[in-house]
Amino acid sequence: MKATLRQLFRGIDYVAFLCASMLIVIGLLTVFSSSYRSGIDEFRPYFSRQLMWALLGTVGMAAAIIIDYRFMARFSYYAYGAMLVLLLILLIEGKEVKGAQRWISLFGFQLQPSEFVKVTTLFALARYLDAVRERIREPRFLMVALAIAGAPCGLIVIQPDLGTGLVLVALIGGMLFAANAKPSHMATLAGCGIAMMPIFWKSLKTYQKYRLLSFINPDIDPLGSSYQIIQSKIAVGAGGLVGKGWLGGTQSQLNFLPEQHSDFIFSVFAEEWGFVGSLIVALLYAGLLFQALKIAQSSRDFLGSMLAVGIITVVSFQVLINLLMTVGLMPVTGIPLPFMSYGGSNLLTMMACVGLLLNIKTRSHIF
Amino acid sequence: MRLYLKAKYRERIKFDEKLRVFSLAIALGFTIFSLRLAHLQLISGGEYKRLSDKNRIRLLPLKAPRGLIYDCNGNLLVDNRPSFTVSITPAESPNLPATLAKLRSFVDFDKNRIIEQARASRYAPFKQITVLRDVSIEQAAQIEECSLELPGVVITAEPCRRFPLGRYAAHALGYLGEINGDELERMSDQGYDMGDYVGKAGIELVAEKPLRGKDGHMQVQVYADGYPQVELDPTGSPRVRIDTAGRSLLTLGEDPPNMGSIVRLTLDSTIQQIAETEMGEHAGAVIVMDANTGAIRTMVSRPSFDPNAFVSFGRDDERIEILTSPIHPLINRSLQAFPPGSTFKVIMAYAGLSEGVITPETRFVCTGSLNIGRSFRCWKDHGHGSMNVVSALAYSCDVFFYNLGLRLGIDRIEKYARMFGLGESTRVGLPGEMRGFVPSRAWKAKMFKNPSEKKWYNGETVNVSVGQGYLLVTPFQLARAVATVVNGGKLITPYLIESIEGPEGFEMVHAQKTPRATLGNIKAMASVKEGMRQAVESRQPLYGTAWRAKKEGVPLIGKTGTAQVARFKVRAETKAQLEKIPYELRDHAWFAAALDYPLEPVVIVVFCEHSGHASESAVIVAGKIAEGIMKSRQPVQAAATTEGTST
Repeated sequence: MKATLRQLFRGIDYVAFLCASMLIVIGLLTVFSSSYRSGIDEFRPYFSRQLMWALLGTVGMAAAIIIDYRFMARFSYYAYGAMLVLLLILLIEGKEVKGAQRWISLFGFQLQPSEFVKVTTLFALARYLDAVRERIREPRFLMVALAIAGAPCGLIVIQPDLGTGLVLVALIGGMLFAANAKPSHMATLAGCGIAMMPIFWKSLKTYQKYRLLSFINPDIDPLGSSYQIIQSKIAVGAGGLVGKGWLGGTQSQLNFLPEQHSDFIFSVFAEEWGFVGSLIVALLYAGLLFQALKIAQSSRDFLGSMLAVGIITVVSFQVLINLLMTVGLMPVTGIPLPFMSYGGSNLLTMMACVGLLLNIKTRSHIF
Repeated sequence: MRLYLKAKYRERIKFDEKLRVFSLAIALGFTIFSLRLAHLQLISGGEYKRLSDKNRIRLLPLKAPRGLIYDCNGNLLVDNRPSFTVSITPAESPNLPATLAKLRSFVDFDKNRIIEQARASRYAPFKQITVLRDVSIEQAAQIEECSLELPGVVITAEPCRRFPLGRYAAHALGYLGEINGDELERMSDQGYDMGDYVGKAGIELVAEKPLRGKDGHMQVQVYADGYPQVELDPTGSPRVRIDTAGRSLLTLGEDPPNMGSIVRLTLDSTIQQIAETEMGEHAGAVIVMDANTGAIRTMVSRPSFDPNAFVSFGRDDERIEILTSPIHPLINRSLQAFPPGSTFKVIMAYAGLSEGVITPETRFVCTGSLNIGRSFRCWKDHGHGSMNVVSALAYSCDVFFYNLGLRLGIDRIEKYARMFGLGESTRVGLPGEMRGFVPSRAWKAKMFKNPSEKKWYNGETVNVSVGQGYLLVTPFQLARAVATVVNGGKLITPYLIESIEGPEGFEMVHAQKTPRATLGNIKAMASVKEGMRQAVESRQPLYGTAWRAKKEGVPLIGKTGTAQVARFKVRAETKAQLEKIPYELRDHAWFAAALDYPLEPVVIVVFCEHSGHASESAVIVAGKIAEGIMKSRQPVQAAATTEGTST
């Protein structure tokens, strides 16, 4: 069943594609705003780098459309295994080079392997669930699926990258749920997870504990995590109905907003574009996700459905956690906003995911 | 239609149900988010707008530089200098120890203290830490030049009071200090704040209001990670242009500070410096004053202090030493009261002549003592022989004035002492002025309990006649009394502030130019003046008591005084004898003198605390000051003359 390019293009989901593209363009504009300081003619290099990553991501997205996902799935266990090894190497190497475990340098690019782990784990899980199907209701197959997600998740949390760890937890939860695992098993797992919370809490770094505590009580660390949330809320709120205009946000332009090009990019946007702009962005994300749900539904095989569900889980979890964080409804966990936050690895991963969605959709039309 | 669906129809339906849960969860998430957005941006938008403005807008207070102080010739007495402070922002210095090490090649400071402070403020890494205050302008320039190698290091300037004369005229000019609790309570309605410097003494205190100026402020838009830097513009006014990271700041509003008014004093820094030099090591006071107007040309008080120590950082030890010194350098000796000794004979002579109890021809014979039941000695053991009023003043014959005192009686002595302004404030307008003391019958009756002590005795009159006993005068009172001798009997008011030039214009301060009282007996005054002239000029039959002050062409007249501190029977005639007496028991020396120019007579009063006999100390000092005044005035007078002839 070789598909021609013409066939591929005819089957493309333009709604999903447009939603993602517009979000990327909006993200680029906002990264530009958070890089540029009109008062002092300072231009930080974030925008140009992000633009380069977006172009690279377009190539990645095209590849993710053209190569049949079933063909890709054949290599999912190898890719998964390779990524585990990479994470292990990083962990051991990282011990020697203090604290820089999250990044690797490749051809001059700073890469964040934990972002790519999301895709490899997603593929491995989808392939495994496709293989076991109904047997997932048996505990031993469930345990294997759990182990597939658990291994990278543990390695990443040790790094420590709490945010990506949480994304992987959400991923396994969402995919097991969609794969029709037994509700009683799911509940037991959730119960175990909650029971392990105290151990998990002890393993957290002090700043991570502060982040979570300051969410409950903002006065606990007014100069640290609470400061971030307070400043973000001020930025979003000060945007009002129509915002202060592009490059006009004082919270970001005057550096009151922390992490403004990465985790808090939406706050920069909301301050400059107001309620109207924010609502449009929310609608674009919602549009993309509902379109993705349709794709999951219309997939012609279980593998495609599982892949789509995995992508939906990862994207929706990240979008909602990040957006709710910027408005003070979630604690600061270091999860970037898909398509908009500065960060090459994240953008590349998310664009590849969109490509994969389009891949699944377009192949549902091809026989 | 699809193979997979047909085969697994049941599974398919289940999957659709699951997806419905997904879409519900996603819809719920976005609904919550949108409602929250509406709450933050639409309902509370105004409040958050205000908070974001509060974030970015800073109202910075700008302290007005204090007004300048000039002398009567336009020479600068007090001004402001920029004081440079070196600070470091830890967050902007990636390698703090290395930066500090580099900084130490320019200025010396405790590196560990800075590192300790940086650690303590690690949750506020943009907080500036003061490294060193008041570095020299050369050091500041060097550090500024190497700013690229010193990330995070900034130099700020603030105006600091400067007294170029140092210890000279310190008591007239005063000093500044940080406002204390009482002052803050009293002056808080005038806009004073904690940490402000206010005048604590002298002109700085008296003219605090005009000198202070009006503080201003600037409203600027700041960055979160930088502090606005206060700099001084060429006029010394503080301004804000950039922040610690070197970014220029947007000014939103400005109310520039107004520098304090210029205060012009009557002091003549040339004469002041001559007097300061000639006083040498003596403790005491010197006053040089225009006899006609009361304009104070010189005010010396010793021991002195450096007012710069009170405004300069790093001179705490010096300041504490000044404040705790047993010799009290802060006390202005020229406002303190001491027994006048024989200088009081000037007033006695005028009183006797004016009351008619003696004439210029009246003579008393001095045999070395006078016996009125108890023997009162003259300072000259062998006696002066026959003395009239002029010679008695010239040679300071005690016996003559004992007799005169007995003829006048204490009531008339008191009356004349008060006519010459003793026992009351001179209204010079400086804080801490003592009123001195003139004893009287009424005072004695009131003060003493024992009936035998309530009575006034002739012996006490005799003591007062030569300026001993209960009598106390300040150098200023004496200067004013002497002024009446050379200015035709006018009791003038001494003053120090000539004018104040504020932003609203020119303001004369000394309104009180008319004399408070006039001593009308010109003939009596002429005799007194002659007596004072003889004290300097006379060589036959005796040397006048102030003969050492005689300088060719200097029309100096004067009356010496040696005030006993303790009732010593042994008089110190030589330096060796003087040094045997404990310092605090040695006699005070006075010389109440005047330069008897017909048009502009000048009073010179020299008071040397615990320095023994007057002719050895005060007279010599006054003579040299008089000479100095002559020299400093000659060019002016010469210029005036040539100008007069050319036109």
